[in-house]
Amino acid sequence: MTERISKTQRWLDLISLLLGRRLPLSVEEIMENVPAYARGWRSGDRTAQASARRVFERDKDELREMGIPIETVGYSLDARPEPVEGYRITRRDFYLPYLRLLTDADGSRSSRPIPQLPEITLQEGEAGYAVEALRRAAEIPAFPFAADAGSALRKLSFDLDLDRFGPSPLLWAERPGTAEVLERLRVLSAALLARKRVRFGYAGIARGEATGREVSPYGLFLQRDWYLVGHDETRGAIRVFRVTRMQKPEPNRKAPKTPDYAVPDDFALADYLRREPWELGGEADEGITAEVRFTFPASLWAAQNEQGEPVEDAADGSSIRRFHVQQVDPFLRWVLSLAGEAEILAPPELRSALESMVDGVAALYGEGVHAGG
Amino acid sequence: MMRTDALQILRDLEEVYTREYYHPAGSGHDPQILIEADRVHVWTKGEFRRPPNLTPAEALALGLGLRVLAAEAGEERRGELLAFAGRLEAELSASSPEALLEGIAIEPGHRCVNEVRAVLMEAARERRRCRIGYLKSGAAGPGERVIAPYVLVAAQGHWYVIAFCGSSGEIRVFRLDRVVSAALEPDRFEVPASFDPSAYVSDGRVFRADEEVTATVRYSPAIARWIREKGPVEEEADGGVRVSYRVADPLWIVRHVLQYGADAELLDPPELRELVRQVLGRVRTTE
Repeated sequence: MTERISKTQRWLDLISLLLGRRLPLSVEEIMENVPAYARGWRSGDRTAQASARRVFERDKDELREMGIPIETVGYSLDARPEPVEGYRITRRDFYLPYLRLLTDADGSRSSRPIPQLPEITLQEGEAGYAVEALRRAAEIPAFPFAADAGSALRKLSFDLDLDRFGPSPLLWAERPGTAEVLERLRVLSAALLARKRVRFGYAGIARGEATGREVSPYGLFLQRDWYLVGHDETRGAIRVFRVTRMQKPEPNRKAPKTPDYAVPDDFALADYLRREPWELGGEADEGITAEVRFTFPASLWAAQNEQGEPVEDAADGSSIRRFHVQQVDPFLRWVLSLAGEAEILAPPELRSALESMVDGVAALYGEGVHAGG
Repeated sequence: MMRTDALQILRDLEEVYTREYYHPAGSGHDPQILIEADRVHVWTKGEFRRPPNLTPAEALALGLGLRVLAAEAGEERRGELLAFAGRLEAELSASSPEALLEGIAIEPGHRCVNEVRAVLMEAARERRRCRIGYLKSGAAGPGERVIAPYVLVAAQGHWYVIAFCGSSGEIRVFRLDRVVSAALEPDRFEVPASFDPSAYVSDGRVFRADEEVTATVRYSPAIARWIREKGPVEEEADGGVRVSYRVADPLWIVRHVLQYGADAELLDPPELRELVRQVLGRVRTTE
């Protein structure tokens, strides 16, 4: 007999035992029949028996968190009036349903060794979407559930021939530092799902030094980079944090099964998507309204990429668009980067501020920077 | 395709076959395993002859992926994809990931760009040529060309298509936010066996293989930490950093530098510094 039974083997034994029985099993039957528990259970020593029982309880909880449907059921034995508590895994709940493409011939039911499993019929296009969706999720850089997308794809491949759907014509360019971001996201996503507060050092773009933060995570999103949205307990308001600028996020480890907070019902992660850097921070009714004129063909680009809101299209192909600006500096730098294809029309103070910025940049390049180019 | 390495597979198999030696629980139909040089065969009639349902995390990954596809799709297909996502989540997982999905999102991008991307993805998948209207940097207006899209690349928040361009007769890189229109053509193409998309990607950036000019940019200490996040840098004594870029489009590097205001300076070559002066002059004109 092997000296040590690993946790994986113990789990396989527990699942295998419950799946192999149609009727529920009592705790005593489980203790007797799973070798890793039986060692301590059969010893007769109460401490060893209690220890084995605790291991079973932990295994049960962890497997349930992973989605293994271990049911607790009450049942009667030998016509006794008092019911006993037992555990079972029903095959219908445990196994992946059979997946069949509508275009494939209906295989004989005898080729399906688990007859009580349902069958899901998919159009070829639908199956392609599912495969593409998982391939896409598996490739997103630093996505904390990328490995889960890969394992889901492996499960689907049991019934679907993945080669049928052709390779994905998409490549993600992985940036240096992705591994560190992934580690931070694993901590943050686990804290988010368990509703546990996190602490981290944060160097925001406005400040030079890192400050300590304690945040209740409300959501994570990817928009060029990964961001955490949460209630900043230090500042008493919702803030958006770029994950690459965090230092060593740590969850609150006290009472791990008890949530520290609840996400407000009126919180919607979608409200934080598609915000440009100049739209971050502050309240919605604060900030400046700016109007910018785009020359042709930059006006086409601005429309195609939904930059600001359209105000007016001119006969020469130029257009005026409106922007709501919370952060002036990033907005001015963005206008500057358009290299003369955009002009701030209003308000006057923004035009002046851009002029000052141009002066500052021109000083780096010496004399010779005059209007007209 | 399976996204796991051979060593992990062998380690997992070892855990399974060493169960034989301690009389495991269950039906006793332990797997028979044959390991060859490049493949593994497993036969079993036992409880693990079929995979389990999706875990909550696997269902979340599937749901998120389908929602990304839905966001990129046109109006009609979007509804179908979302309904399909709901159906699969209910039928393939013991618990719906809906609550999990409320807390994690991937920004779908702008509608017009998504529509262009959907057309180019279909073109690349089906190996069909595509007619695009492209707004080249510095051009007076969009120009039309027919391309053979080989692969789409997502890099640093932007989408690109690497394609054979019928107008130039060469492989070109096109940024999708500059593609103002895209339509499938009936002609098909083959991707050359020698084409290697990784040759166009380095340190998380996309670049063209024929970039000839090397530009050096200095970033001030105030923003050096953000630049280090993006890739390799050369440190300077005052806390600033320098980065060298291979450049095909001079206006690209000028725009890149200007987005940092006075915290970035294009050091060389001299002709690009002159271009910065000219652009600043144009900005003054419009102000």
